[in-house]
Amino acid sequence: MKLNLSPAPHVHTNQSTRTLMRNVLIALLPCAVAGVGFFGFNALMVLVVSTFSAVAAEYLWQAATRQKVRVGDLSAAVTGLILGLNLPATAPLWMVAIGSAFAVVIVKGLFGGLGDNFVNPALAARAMLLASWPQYMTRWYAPAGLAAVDAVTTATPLSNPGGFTTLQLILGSIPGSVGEVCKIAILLGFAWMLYTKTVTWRIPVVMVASTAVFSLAFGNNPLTAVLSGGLLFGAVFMATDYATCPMTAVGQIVYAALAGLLVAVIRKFSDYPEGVTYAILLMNVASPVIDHFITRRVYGHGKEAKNG
Amino acid sequence: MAKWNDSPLFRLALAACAALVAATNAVNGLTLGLATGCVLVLSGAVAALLDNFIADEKGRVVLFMVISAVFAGIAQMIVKAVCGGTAAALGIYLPMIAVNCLLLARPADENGVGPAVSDGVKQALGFICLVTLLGALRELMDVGTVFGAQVLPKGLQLTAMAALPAGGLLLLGLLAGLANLIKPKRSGKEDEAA
Repeated sequence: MKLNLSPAPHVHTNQSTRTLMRNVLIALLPCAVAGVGFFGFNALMVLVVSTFSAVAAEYLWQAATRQKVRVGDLSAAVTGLILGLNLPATAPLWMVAIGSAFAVVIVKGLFGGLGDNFVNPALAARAMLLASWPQYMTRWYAPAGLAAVDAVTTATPLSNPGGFTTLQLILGSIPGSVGEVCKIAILLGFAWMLYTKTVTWRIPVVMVASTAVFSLAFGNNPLTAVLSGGLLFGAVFMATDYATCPMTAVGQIVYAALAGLLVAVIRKFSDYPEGVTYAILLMNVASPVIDHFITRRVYGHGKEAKNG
Repeated sequence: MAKWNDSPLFRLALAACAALVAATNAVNGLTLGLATGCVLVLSGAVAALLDNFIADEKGRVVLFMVISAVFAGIAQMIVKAVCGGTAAALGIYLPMIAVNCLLLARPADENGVGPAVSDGVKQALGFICLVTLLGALRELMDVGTVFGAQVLPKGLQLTAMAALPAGGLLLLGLLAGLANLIKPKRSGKEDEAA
């Protein structure tokens, strides 16, 4: 009989990066389907290009720097798909590809790869694209189904509050980024991630609630604030990035509440109509500080540390 | 002595704030570099001259800042007189050369005027080259020109972000990373000096 000696933990889970990322991809599917349904072939091309260029960039980067090629863990595919879902369907495809490469190589690869990025790669890429080519990042058209090719440019609910009914905001028949419009699809994805324990409820629920509360405090309709723009999508799929959110439950609640406050503040007081991107990026950067002040009590060490 | 590892912008990341905000095109970068470089060399030389009269370490820093402020004031007036538009574009970063950390980072314990000047000149030349390169690249990417001369097809804007501080920081980081790849091999002599 062979005796295996190994350090704890002895109980293994069959969860790997690949299964986690596969669950996120499955959770993103409803949003992708809804986005393509609303915005047509353009949206499909944006999603395909963003996903494939992210995977290609990851492969090329890891091969060029002589690392083990890990595109099989699907993390680059998730980053690319999330970026695509964050873009308007009118986005030129070369810009989509640059965004994906930027996310994977500069935001993730240069900082050490998966888990070492200090901000969410897809969001940082979105911010970069918005700063670089604002003219292509703010062309929205009203959903017109698969037939839409030359649709009319129009304002999103954030620039035109009151122009859309609550039912429209929930179903997603509004102008906006490919993945953010259909709230039902986002909630379906959230339910799948909760069911598979990919994420916990804390960050999305607290962030959305915080935005609602502070929007109300600033005199805006909280329901419209929650259903407009990329808040739900960002709270469910991007604020929850493992590498860039605090580790403890209390820390995550603080992080999400502050992110919600920032969303409301940026939307109300800045020149930008939407604040979800910058709110989450800022809280990503603040996460190490939160982790510094709110630490997990190490089993068997807590009281000693307090007395000492 | 000035070594590769003392390269202000790329290795020490000194004077980065001025370079990122103000050096948005080649002319601004060159002006900022020249003004900073002159102040650097001259204040270093004068500080070395006065070095024998002041022994106290804290007093030395104060003295050095006063000297830098004098030369920075002169530099500001000259830039304003020669090219007022560039002075306006550089804004607060022109008078702020006086408190530029690049100047404060100069060792006050150089022995004599000669070494102080040669060290200052090397530092200044390095800074002028890098900040001009950064400005030129940002100008090229933002409006397609270098020193105002059309390089890319007219009307082609590669990226508007290059002119923003965020774009400048990204570009500086990438350039510094590339520069690390071509870092010269250390010779034994340099190690001794370090």
